[in-house]
Amino acid sequence: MIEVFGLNLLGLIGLILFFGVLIASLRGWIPQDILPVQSALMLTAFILIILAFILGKPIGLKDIQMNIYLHPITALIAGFLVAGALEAAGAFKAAINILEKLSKTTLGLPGTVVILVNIPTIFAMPCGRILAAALIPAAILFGYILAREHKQPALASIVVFGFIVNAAASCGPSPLGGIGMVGEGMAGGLGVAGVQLGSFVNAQQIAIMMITAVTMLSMSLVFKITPDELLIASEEKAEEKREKKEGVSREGYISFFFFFIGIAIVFITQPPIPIQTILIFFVVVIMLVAKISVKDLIGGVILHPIMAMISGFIIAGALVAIGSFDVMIQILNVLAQTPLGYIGVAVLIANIPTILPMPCGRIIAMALMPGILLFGLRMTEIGLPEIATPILLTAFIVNAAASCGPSPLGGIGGIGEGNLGTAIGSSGRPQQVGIMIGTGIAAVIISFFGFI
Amino acid sequence: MAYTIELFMVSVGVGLISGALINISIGYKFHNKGGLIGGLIVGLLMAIL
Repeated sequence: MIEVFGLNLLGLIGLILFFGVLIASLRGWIPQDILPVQSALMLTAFILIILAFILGKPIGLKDIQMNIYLHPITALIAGFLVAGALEAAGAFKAAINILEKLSKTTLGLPGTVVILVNIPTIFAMPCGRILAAALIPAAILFGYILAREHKQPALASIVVFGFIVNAAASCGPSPLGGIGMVGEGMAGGLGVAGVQLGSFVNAQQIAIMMITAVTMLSMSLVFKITPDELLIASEEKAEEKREKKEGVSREGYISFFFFFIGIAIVFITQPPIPIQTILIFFVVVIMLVAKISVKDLIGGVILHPIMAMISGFIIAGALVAIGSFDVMIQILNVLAQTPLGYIGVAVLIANIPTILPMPCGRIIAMALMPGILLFGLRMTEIGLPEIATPILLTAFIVNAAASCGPSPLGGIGGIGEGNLGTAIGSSGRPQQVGIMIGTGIAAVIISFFGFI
Repeated sequence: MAYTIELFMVSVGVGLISGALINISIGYKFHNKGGLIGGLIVGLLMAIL
């Protein structure tokens, strides 16, 4: 094995190539319309396999397959089928209608906005894009009404991007194949004390509430984003017309309440049945109630996060096989000897996903999760409490899940920017501020209260 | 995870804080009743779901 400065050369090349591809994609040196970051990472894995062969440490498909976890992938697909069924049944339109009615109660406009911007994490779909796309008309509508009432156009952006960052982060705590499930599965598999499926969910959800609020506050105080008023006004009118014309069907309400009550029962009773089976049951019931076709279901499947997850698993498999994570731990150990210490390094690596925001948080989450877990275990080895590993993992997962919001490479933020007519990437900074604070809050919650 | 008093306290507490922060962000007083009740509902829903 060739070594450089005491580090395995192949592992080091793997790490440099991995981070190099991420940075080059972000900086636009790798044109995303020609080679998207997911494909670039697959190509990197292929190059690493060839390099390993040349350097006399061949790795096989088996080594890479070992790192592909099927459970979150199948849960993700089942989650998309539920989302497709709900969309086709008109359940999301029913949700918008209910919100409009809520705004006429004691809650008023501010209370309805608080609920609206947090809806994605309450329902925690496997990909934030599902609810971001479905409910953005509601966010624009309420944002526009607020802006008109207070004569401040920037208020529309505050509501829209609060909603967007919440949607982006919501795939972390999703029980339908969320990023958190992967971390919980890996940590539980390695015997990290007390970790099981669902352990990180509540801490993540609570942290996301703060991510949302801090993002909105930072936009109100510092990062003011003025939307294109004409664009919003025309979209608001179009939405009002569409709603008057289409209305909301009875099946939409039934599907909405069936899903809402059904998912609540699942969370409360935690039946010993795989989540995929439960989701398929949901799909069948909604299909029967709303008489929707298989085509509608397939329409709900978004390939982007599935590919992101698979490419993340594959590059992680290659990095594990060539020893890149051992090199990463060695480097982090050296960094921990500086004034940063182990805690400083942990803070740094928990925030890497938002420093290098990818179009889907699953890319960097799946790729780095084994390394993060190893570093967490290393922290307990040097005498930090055993809870240090789940703290680091939860913080990293929240950060990774939310990181697709500020990504300039076609992240969820782009949905809001497109709808408001603002510059691409303009919502990045306020979202990053919110995510940074939320990452810390997730860590504090696990630290003080454990797996609440 | 089991429903504990800590979970509800933290979730509702953070919900209230986030409600107050959103109130300020969208041009209302931090103690606007609607925003606070909204935060409370969100906190409860997050804890239950």
